[in-house]
Amino acid sequence: MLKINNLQVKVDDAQIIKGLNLHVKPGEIHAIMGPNGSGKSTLSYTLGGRDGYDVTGGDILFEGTSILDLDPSERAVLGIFLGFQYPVEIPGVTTMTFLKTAVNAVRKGRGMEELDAVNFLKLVRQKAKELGIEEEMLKRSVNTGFSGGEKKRNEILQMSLLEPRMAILDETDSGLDIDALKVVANGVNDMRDPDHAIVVITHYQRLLDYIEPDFVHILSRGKIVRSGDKALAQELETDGYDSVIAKAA
Amino acid sequence: MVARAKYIEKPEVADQFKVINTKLPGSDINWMQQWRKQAMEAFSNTGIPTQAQEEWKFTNLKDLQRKNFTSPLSDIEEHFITKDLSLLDQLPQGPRLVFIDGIYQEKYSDAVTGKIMVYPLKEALEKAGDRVKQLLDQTAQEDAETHPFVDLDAALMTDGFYVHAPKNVVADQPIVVLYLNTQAKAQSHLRVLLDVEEGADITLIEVHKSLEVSASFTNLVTNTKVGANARLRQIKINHNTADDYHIAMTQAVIEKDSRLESFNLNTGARISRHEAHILIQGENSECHWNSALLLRDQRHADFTARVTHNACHCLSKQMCKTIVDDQAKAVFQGKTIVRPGAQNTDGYQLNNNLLLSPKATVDTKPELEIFADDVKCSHGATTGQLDKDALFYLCSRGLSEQEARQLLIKAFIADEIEAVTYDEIKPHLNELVQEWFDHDDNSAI
Repeated sequence: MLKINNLQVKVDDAQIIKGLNLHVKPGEIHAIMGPNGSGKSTLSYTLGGRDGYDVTGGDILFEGTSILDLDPSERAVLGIFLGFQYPVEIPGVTTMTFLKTAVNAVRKGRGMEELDAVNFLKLVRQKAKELGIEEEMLKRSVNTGFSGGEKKRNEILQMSLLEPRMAILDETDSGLDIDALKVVANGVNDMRDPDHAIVVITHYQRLLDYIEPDFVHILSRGKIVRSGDKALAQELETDGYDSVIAKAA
Repeated sequence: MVARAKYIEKPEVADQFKVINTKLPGSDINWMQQWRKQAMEAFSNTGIPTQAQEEWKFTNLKDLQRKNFTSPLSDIEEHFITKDLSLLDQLPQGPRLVFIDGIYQEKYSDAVTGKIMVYPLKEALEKAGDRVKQLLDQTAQEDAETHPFVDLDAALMTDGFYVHAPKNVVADQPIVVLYLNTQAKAQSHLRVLLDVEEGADITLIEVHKSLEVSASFTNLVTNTKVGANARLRQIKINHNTADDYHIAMTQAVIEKDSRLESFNLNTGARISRHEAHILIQGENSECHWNSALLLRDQRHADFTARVTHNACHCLSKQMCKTIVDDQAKAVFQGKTIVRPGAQNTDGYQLNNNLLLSPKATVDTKPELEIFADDVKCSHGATTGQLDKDALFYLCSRGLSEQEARQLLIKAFIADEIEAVTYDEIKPHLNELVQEWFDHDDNSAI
């Protein structure tokens, strides 16, 4: 589903990603772990297509086609979802308006009929209920004044509404209390099936107690230095990044 | 260095006055005749202010001075189309007044007078001369300053209206006024007199609309008195053409326990200036004087307000949000004066500007002058571009860049519209903002 080949990314003239390879097949959950500054967020923004993240070498293929020339909204329409580490506050736009605009933009892009107000409301109420999101939150401005947990629940709600083929969750677990963490984990586990793929980018092993990854990769200085199964995450937990990365070198 | 002239002459105005002064409303009333003559002299002694004047530093009136307008009271050709009058149908129901090129149009108006009295200027002079005289003379000036456009308006006012809300009368409908400019080079000098007595509560919606051919000059002075425990809400919408000149001045005095609210939605003109001097004369009153400016091409809009606190425990807010694209220019000049003894004043000014083009300009000058020692006053101005993080966030959820930009720009303006307390007008204001976007052909949005 996703093939990243020898990816090189520059941000403000600094080479951050230096030859990264990653293959993700449908049905798989991959966890990318790494210390601060290893290039985790750069990888997720590059996959999302953010301006200022210049791909200077290599390629990203989604279902066999390069996505490098696609802008962020086209990638969303294709079925790539990026969960943000720091969801952006947008005062003045209610969450409900935002969600409806997003859902219909994606549906339109996918050649599906746009949802009318009634059907959209039905859908969003049902999804919100599943995630334990109060309707009152949907009336507030997007992420504005939300607690960390509310912001991440909102990310998972968006993921659930936009029905992506692949989700990339960038440190969606950081700083969450255990209840919010479970919501995130449940969202991911609900999406898990043979047609969908998930890439979880995280600093902490704790999330992996709730989401069982098929593969774990260690990212260091812009490259994947070790890959393994969930046992690798256990090793990280016991020995720490320094030791595991040193062994890989 | 030679001092720059503070005024430039506009001599043709005095000639026009000589020709028409016997036909103007009130020409058969002695005091009115005298009053106009004095004003004409005052204007002739000054002329049009230049940028050498601090208050006009950012708005250049040279073009207005050079331009010749046809004499007021010129015949009206009815070549406007029904579409322009049907604009009224989009507004809330209520007594309505229509002015075309500065003249009251009885046949298009429906100024039903019930508990609230609404008279066009001529009728007001006949029926309520004393009150009208009092209000005409009312200013909210500091010291003995003069205002050339107020003088010019006094001399040439071709029409206007007077609203009298008697004690404790609460209007159940807003008064709706349409000012239509139909002829190129027409000039209208209008006077609005708002007399809100103790405990009364009224809402006024004013729409200025120019036909596309119009390169007109509108000079409008509003004198307002809000009595104790009364409320006046004003919503003013400007749809001018890029060639219009629109100069508006409000002089308001508000008494204790009262509330004055104003909101102006303005898409600019060649020159558009919305100015106010507000004097808070009694305790425990509130003044909200807000504006949203949406400007593109080479349009110019100027929001200038001065609120003087002369009593304790009052609150004033001046909020102005601008969106400036292309080579347009927005001006914010907000001043809050707290006089000695006006303790516990809460004064607040905020000007947020969103620049959408590298050639767009904003001049902003928030000022405080505080002569009391127990007050809470703040002012601020921000100028910036759209938040890149927010744009990427929205685009990553499938919105095109254009959709994302529109959503963010609308959100920027939204709280200003949200602050309008007359809910019935909000859908219309939101539609106008949408129309402004839809009429955009060539900008980046």
